Amino acid sequence: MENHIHNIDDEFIADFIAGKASAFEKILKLYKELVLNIAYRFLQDRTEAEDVAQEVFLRVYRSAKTYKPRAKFSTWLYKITANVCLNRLREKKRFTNDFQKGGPDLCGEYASPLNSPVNPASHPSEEFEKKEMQKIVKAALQVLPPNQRLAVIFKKFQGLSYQEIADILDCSIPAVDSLLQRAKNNLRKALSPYVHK
Amino acid sequence: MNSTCKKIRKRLSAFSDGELKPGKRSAVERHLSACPDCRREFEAASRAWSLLDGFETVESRENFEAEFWRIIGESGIRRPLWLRVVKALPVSALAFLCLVLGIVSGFYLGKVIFRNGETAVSFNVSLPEDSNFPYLDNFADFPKDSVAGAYIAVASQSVNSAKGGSK
Repeated sequence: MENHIHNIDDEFIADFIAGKASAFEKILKLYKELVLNIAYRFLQDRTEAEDVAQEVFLRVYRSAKTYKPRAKFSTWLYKITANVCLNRLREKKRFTNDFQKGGPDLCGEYASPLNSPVNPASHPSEEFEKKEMQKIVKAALQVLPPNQRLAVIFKKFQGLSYQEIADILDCSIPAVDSLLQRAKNNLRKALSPYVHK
Repeated sequence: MNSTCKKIRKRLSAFSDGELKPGKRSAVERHLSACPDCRREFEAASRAWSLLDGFETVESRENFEAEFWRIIGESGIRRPLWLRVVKALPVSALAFLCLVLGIVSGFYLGKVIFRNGETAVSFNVSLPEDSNFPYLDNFADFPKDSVAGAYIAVASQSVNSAKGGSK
């Protein structure tokens, strides 16, 4: 689990609100990897993830003067990231019919490895197995509905609490619990052939 | 599956995420230790969850920030002028500029402090009583048999002969 968030609230939030470019440059340096990886795990396309990350920071830059520090800066940033990811997915839905199936247009090379489980005996290389496992895990995540996917990304990879996820997704804590329950059930079903007993 | 198992399984996700209050947490722990089916379900879900650890992390491209500022520039939102100038100049040019600014400001500062030969700022300097230069304190001449006195005598002769020559 990664949790690179620095609590910048006390550091230079006032400078950021005042529109100081130096404060924003620090924000960019601190958070670009984090935002990029959230977008990458959601969209599973490197180029799209970079575009999303750029758009997130553009929105943050433009909204600086209207930012009200009611919540943590990180929560606000995560919220923007989630919204931009969801918007990007909706835009892609207009251009692909395979959205619900998580087909090639969304997953690229990770189209449907769940349909062809790896036979470790035929490919003994550990590195190869690791790569294949990555593809399988990515595909399992990709077939989750968007909100479940976001909940998993924020919980598993960012280590956020249910309360924080609820603030980001603008829902209640029981709703987050429900999202994660369903997501974990779906993941368990998708990954059960690969779980070592 | 009985109703207790159904109720417990609904809590397994929050339980594994550490989101249950102590009372409910204990209830789940007790049930898992007594119910092999629920325990098997919990362990399978935990193993699948841990497989997500294999998801790779990516690094941003080196020109990510430059690209961002390029987009900002094109969209009409500008960084402050001074920041744009500073970022555009190479380090050596910046160092030279700082040097020139330092010299110029030092020059004008000197002019302000030492106006018309007088100090604009008073310096309260006094020699200690046991100064080694009593002659300077009293503005008296150096004794003629001293080295300083001999030097001043020779220098005076040179000045006088120069004056005499110019007439």
